[in-house]
Amino acid sequence: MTNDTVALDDSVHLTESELLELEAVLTGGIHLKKTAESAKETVIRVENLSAYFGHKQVLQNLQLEIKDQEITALIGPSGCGKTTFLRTLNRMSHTVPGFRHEGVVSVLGRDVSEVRDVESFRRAVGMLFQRPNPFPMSIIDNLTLALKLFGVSKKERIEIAKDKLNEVGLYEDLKDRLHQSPFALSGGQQQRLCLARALAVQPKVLLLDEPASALDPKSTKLLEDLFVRLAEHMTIVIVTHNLAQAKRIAKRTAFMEAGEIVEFELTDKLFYHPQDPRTRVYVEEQIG
Amino acid sequence: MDTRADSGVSEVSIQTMPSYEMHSYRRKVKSIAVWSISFAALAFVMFIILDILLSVISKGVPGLSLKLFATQTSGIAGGLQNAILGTLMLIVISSLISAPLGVLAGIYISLFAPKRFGAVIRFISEVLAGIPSIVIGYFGYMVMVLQWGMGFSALAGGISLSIIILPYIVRTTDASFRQIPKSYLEGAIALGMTPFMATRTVLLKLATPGVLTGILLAVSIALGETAPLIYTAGWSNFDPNLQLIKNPVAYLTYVVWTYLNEPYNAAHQLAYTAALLLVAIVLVLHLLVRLLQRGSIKHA
Ligand SMILES: Nc1ncnc2c1ncn2[C@@H]1O[C@H](COP(=O)(O)OP(=O)(O)OP(=O)(O)O)[C@@H](O)[C@H]1O
Ligand SMILES: [Mg+2]
Repeated sequence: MTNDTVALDDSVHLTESELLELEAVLTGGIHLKKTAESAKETVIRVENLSAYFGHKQVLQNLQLEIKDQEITALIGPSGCGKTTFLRTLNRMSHTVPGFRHEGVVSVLGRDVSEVRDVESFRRAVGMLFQRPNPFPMSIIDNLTLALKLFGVSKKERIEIAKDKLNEVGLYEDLKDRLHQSPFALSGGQQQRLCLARALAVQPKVLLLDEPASALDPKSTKLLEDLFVRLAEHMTIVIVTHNLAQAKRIAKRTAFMEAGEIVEFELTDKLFYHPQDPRTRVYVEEQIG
Repeated sequence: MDTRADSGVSEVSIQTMPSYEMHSYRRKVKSIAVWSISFAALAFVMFIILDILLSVISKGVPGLSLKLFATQTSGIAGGLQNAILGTLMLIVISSLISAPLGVLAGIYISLFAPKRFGAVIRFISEVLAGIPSIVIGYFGYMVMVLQWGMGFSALAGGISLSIIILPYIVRTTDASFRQIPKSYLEGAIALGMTPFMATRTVLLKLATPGVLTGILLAVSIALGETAPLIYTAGWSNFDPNLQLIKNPVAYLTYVVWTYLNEPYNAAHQLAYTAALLLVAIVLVLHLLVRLLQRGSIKHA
């Protein structure tokens, strides 16, 4: 049994590039093959990242490369620093007084500590939170507010809003109540609305902090399918406590413990063939 | 059926847990005592409030007439037009000064100020709220009326009132912004909004009912002030003439305060009717506050 898994994993590991090529051939030849190759582009590069809240060190020497058009999962016990790390990637951690980091964090080719125009940087690196947080205004205003502030014309804003609602599968349900409050929507719908809102400013990277932990299985499935589809043209990093979720959608997974990245591997390999004993213990405990 | 079940339960508990039963008995007596005292206190307060309200209404209503709103006071009689307009002018001036200042300061200390600095401003504002209004009136008299040469005037009175109500507006604004869950600000900032944009659009929307409540309460406090105005606004038997300085203005609390001391019935009538108007305005303000608060619950 164990032998089987190892063999399977190894073969997957070895033929990854061949698989991509195969996929490219199957789905449309040279053009797609090119994008498959550019999929290897590194969008997020982290070197020797240490981070502190005041005197307390919460991240230690993180080392990590995250690639475009992939979903990367961060797992690990509560308090190990997943959220802090995720929020360092779009400088949200930096809004907390007393936070500072050392080392290199490069996102979309820009070093986060040298970003001048934080706002346009954050526009390129979208974020979805644990609890849906629609703004206290109509559904359509939720989607268009940021665009309006950035000077997008009204006609264009509405078009983008409808487009994104469609993309998250809400348009048919909501098209007749775009001017109503979002607070009457179900949790799952609210979260998808927030996703559409994040997508409306055209981010290239999407950071997700336990985005489905407050949702029922059906809404979770809907969201996961969306993430997989979005990852075809963007980079997604997701923090999750749900290992099954990581297994379902993430190509690679990083296991963190006590502020360190213990292991960063292809998801299947991490779960079925962990190299580090700490990973093995955690995965076994979580799966039971 | 019910009683039998009840007695069954108490029988069991008496047999098995006598000390518990004692405790709960004592607790019951205690709680009845506490409740009675609270109720008596409440009844007492209600009685006083009702008494004041009833006497103001019964004595004030007879003086209500169109003439009251259409004529100015002359000597100890006449109407209240000058006092009503003067009060309005003082309230408008003090709100125009203290509302923007107080709201901006409240937003600043709740969202943007470094922790330590915010605490300092909060402390200063509490101290300011604790200063007796007559002290502020006297300060206004010395500095504005005399030193700055404003004379008794709407501006000197309005500024004095705004110093008195500023801390209330700061405090309620601060509180309304601080109770907004962080997730709204973060959600907005994560979209690439500046903190200022997020405050102006998302947060202000959430805080508005609380902020307006604070302003309305502050206005009702300003309405009731007399002492500082006597030092700064003076008194005039004529309608305010839109001159901000060197022209004294009339106000309702002055009528209540002085005319009750006059030995004439007509003066007393005017004082009671002025009191009735003040109470009515304050009541309306508080009803508005209630409406605002009910509106704000829907979002949370
Ligand atoms: N604003 C803050 N100030 C000080 N310490 C903080 C702050 N935010 C987080 N921490 C600390 O940093 C460490 C990492 O927290 P973080 O929220 O990143 O963990 P996490 O892995 O996301 O946990 P969870 O799975 O519970 O969400 C914890 O020890 C936490 O107490
Ligand atoms: Mg977290």
